[in-house]
Amino acid sequence: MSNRGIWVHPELDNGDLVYYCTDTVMHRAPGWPPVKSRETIGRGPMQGGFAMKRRLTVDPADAVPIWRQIEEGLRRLVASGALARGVPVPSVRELARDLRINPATVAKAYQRLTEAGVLAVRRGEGTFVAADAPALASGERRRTLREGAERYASLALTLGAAKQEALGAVTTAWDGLGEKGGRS
Amino acid sequence: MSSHDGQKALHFDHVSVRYGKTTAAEAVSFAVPKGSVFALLGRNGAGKSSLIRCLLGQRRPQEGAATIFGEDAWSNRARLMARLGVVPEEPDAPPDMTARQLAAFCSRLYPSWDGKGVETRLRRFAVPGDVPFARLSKGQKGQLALALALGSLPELLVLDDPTLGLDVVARKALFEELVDELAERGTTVLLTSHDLAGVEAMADRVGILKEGRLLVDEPLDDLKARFRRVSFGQSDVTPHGSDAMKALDPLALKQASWGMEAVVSGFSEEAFARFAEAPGASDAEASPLSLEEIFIALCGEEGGRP
Repeated sequence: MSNRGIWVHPELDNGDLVYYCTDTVMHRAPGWPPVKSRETIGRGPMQGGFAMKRRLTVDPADAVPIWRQIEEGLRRLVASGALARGVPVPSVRELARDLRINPATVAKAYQRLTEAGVLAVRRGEGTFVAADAPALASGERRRTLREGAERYASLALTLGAAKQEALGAVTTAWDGLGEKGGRS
Repeated sequence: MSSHDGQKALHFDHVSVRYGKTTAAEAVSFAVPKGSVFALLGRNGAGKSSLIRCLLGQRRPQEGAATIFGEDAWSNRARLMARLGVVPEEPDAPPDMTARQLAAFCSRLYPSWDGKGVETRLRRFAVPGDVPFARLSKGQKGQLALALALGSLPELLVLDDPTLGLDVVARKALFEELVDELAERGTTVLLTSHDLAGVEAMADRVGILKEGRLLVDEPLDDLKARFRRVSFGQSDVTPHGSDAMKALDPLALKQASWGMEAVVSGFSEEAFARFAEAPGASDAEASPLSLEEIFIALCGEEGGRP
């Protein structure tokens, strides 16, 4: 499993609160205190109490082109509200560096997202989630949810988990992400 | 020779290289568009080094020509080298010269020199400035070579297996440096590497050489889109000779521990659907292949045609 990704605060609910970080660097959003350490990212609460969850990952070995993985990943983050309208996204170069992928690949994804109205470029300031970014179409939302569920169910079956046990694990994970992460 | 083409940074036009009776490269043709990151892959002895030598004007091909920015690499070597940055497989320099002396020396060889950039990179790589070249580690030599190559603000960067022998940390630093260079200057890159996972994230186009011939030359996304591993359960009726199997046209077919496995190089959903419904192919599944797996399927011991 790739250890590359953008991480955002799970309790994102307005434009001020965004962190993105990777396996080497954690970038601070304006107005946020500095982050001291990031040793346990993805495995539990970070030092300082920021429970960061990995939200966007790419797998270069996948058959899906990397630019599309980024495009779809960001689209989903925005549509689900995990990346709030108006928040900055990493620059092409930062994201490319963090994911160690060709910047042209990131640029392609950003360009498509900008054309689709999901991202907006403010001259001299950088790239932001558009204030009026479109929500996930209900069909796509259903499909995404179903596919995720199928992946998890298949994993649980492989492990020989009972249905109740598997559903219990979902509930625990849900609660762990925080109430604000979704509707209960 | 073709006329000057603004879109191509470099072009191999039916290049053949022979050493006595041994053929290292046979009528190899491909072009690297400007701004592209092209990965030239192949096993040891596949002909990569011979082609790179032709490109750098160190060797004249027996047939065909290598051109850089529309100019013949052999006859215009001196002029072209000023526009090229090269990180050789085994970086070499006078053993007594330090990184600082080498940087000063190189700065006089090129029309433009980014001395500050070289200093910054050497600091970032933690390459000591006052240690003789011979006493630097393998990783440091490579990093020094990269810093010097980028110092000339090259239009074309040739990286000959730059991650060979580097540890994970040094490899990561190298790729980050490459990302910065691409983001900042859009430099064209020709890269050979055995680190296929690294290549997979960086290259937009790949060429695969096998025994001197170019098997593959296409965008990485296209290559990965057409390859699949098709696995299916074994049953009494083998689907080997079936029409459905023929439509799938596998590159290789082998017995896996849980059934049969085919590698398909021209995957189509329709052909796969027909195959999956055919008698004998139970639980057929198609899964994507990484660049490494594609490479092995093409160049491994039982590798086949593209």
